[in-house]
Amino acid sequence: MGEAGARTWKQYSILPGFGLTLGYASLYLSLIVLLPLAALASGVFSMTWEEFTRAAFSARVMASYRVTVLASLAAAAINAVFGFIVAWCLVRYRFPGWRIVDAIVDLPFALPTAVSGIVLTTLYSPNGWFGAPLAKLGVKVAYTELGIVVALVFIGLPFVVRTVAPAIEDLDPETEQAAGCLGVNRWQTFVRVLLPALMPALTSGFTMAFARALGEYGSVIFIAGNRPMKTEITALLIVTKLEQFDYQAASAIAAVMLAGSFGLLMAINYFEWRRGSRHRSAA
Amino acid sequence: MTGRDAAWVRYLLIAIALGFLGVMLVAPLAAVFIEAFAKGAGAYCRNVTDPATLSALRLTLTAAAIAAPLNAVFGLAAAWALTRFDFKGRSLLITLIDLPFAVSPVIAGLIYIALLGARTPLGGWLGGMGIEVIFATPGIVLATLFVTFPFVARELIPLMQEQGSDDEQAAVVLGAGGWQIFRMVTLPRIRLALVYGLILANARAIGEFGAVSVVSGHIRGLTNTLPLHVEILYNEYNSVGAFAVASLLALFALATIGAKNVLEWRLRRAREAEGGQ
Amino acid sequence: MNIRLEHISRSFGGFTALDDVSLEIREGELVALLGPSGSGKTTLLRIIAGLDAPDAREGARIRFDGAEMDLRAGARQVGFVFQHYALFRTMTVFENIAFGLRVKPKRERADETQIRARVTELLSLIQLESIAGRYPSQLSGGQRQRVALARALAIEPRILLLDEPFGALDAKVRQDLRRWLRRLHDKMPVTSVLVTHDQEEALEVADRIVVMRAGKVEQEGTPEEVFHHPKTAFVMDFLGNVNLFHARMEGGHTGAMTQVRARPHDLEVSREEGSGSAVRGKVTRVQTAGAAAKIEVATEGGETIMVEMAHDRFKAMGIAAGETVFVRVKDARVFVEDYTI
Repeated sequence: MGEAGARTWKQYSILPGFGLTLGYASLYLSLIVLLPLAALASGVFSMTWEEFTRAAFSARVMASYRVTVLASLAAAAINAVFGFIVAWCLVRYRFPGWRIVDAIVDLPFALPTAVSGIVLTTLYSPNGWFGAPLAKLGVKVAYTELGIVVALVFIGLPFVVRTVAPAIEDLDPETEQAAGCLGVNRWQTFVRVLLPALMPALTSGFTMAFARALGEYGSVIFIAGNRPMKTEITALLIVTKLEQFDYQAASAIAAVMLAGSFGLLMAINYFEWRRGSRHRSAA
Repeated sequence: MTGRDAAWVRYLLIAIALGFLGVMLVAPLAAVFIEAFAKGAGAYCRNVTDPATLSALRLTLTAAAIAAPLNAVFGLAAAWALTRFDFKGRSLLITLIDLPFAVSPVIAGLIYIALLGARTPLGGWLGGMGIEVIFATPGIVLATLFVTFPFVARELIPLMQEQGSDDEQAAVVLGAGGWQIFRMVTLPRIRLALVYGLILANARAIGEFGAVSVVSGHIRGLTNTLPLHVEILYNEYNSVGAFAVASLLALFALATIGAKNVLEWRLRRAREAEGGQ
Repeated sequence: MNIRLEHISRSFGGFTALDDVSLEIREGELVALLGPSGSGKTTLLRIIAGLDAPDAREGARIRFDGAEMDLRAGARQVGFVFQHYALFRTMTVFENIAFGLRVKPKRERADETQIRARVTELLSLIQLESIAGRYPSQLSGGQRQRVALARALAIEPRILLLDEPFGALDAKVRQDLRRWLRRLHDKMPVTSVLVTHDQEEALEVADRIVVMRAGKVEQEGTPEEVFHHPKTAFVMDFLGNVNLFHARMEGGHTGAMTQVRARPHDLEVSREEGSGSAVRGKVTRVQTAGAAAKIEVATEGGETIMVEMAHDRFKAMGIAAGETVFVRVKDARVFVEDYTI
């Protein structure tokens, strides 16, 4: 068995270090990621169903799911539109300073969320740069649902731009020219030819921005106002429960959130895989 | 490149893009520095050199300094195993590496409380030996390790996959041992990508807020990192202080973006040089 | 060094790359493994090098000078030239060649002056002394090829293995390098095995040719043997152009149709029918650019025949397109077991 069994599990390779590197990587992964997740899961599984539902589906928690999901969807949708335009401009047009614009898109990745949280709050509070004129129009942003959306747009933007831009670069110029030659006007070419080709990347970017927004904490809590039932996001509710030493409730809510996130991770992998297979079959 | 779109479409789209980025990204960045200097350079300097700020800076750098080599070693090991060998469970392992990106930072902190908190068996046992993890520095380091976990591996795996293992095979035939192959053949080719991954991981390590917040216990001067210190100052209505510390983090973010772009440019050049072969 | 392979098989999943191959390579020989892609020739080469391991079957053995090798050992002191050379891009030409000397364990390692001397000697052997400081990306294809060869020779290999060594080069460079390699081998007769799918290359360079098909050895012998006395239809087809005639067998299997194969230069064209069996046809095309004149004849049966003849004879006959001629077979072969591609 030995040899043949080993062969079916692993293809023969002359290179050294398989056992060492795979062993170390698996051990480290288990200790840092899997074991703590399992600890959380075991805590949740030790709860009765009633305890679980009371903790994870109470009215206040349900309200937090609602505001988190809706704000994340809104932010991801805004990013899909504006992120697309930004990506298009960065790939297709050369204007003065485009290099700096291209670099600055990564700011939300690099800027600590606490910093973006306090600065957005300051800008959009009733006496801030943007908050004051908006308040005159009767629009309140800071400490409302709108504020949450603003923070989530900020942190989600690079996901859309960085996913869509390479897809625009990969567009086959001949298809576009062919459509142009056929007398189809530019807008129709865009809607019928380009947009469908870019849809997988856009979906992927939208989903990533959405997934990131669901779990976001630092940039949101300052601007959200955190009123229970209204502007309290789920991540904050977990922290609140922890501060009240209600570990069970925190774990139960976290479990629901994790289930959602993993579902999205699978969806993202699926989109990426489909994009990959599309590329392969095109090659 | 610029082309087929009519000029008015081009200008309109660029105007929208720049307007959006100006409002969403540039204005906040500028506001950080303007608010930080709202009471003049003297106040700024006092806030930046405050002992609590300096101790937060020290803890932040410590956590990042511990995370960087651990991430590098994990990334290298995972990339070697995943790109140089074909085995069952390979794609599962690749998916698991990305897992921390799908987890909310708050939950990243929570799972360590679930594993090592004072009430858990493991935490109780460690506590009995006088080792505190949660609400102490080790907890902050662990949370940082979790949130930065995938960065290096994600950069190395696609690159090493693309490079293939011909060079390493050639080295084996020439009589090189495992360590020699890694040091002389593999490492020089992935150096830039490794640094790139470390820069991204480092930015996250220094800026992480949610995960660290949950496990830190917010003990000023002891378990406060820079981002947590920003929060405390802000909640104490010390806006200038909060923005002064925030400006340090913003400067660091700008340096990260700069380094990232330089490396991207060099990586592209290296790839083009390889493509020529 | 003498190499013996016994009962070597290798399968990848459901695909059998090598099927019970046994082979001997003699001291100082230059052997070509020739076959179409997928015939298993590269797998066999990699197994000799230790880059791949044969399936662990009963009787599978690799012997270097009679001594049995560990089937799963990498370092066998062989020189291997990879198809795409696998030069280390981050090292100069000099460092590439020196690599095998520098990685030796301390007690076997030569000192720095000896290493320098050895590398310089190899650089002059490949006639590239002037570019020792360049990086692989700054070299031409032919130069890379020679550097790869020098790197393989640096460790004084017991056997030199080359995987499609001229595959990635232009036709002209390929020819020059081929002759250069042959001369190098005559000067320094290291036992060598090269893999190729180009029959011309194998015929020109090798002392002995091993023709492979579908994981098995189809025939082995000197270039003359495999070219003039092919044992199977496959070998005959693979080693050069072949005219296929469908003929009725006389004698044994009466009435059965069979295929007769004849090389273009084993056919004769004449204007008279003469005695014996000749095929009547019309000259459709004449091509004189090349080593021999090539004449294309369309038979009345609808087949196209290629005939090659020496230029002087062609001139003496003065054949032109459109003429009716008779093609006679001087030498032909019939293979009992035919193959299908």
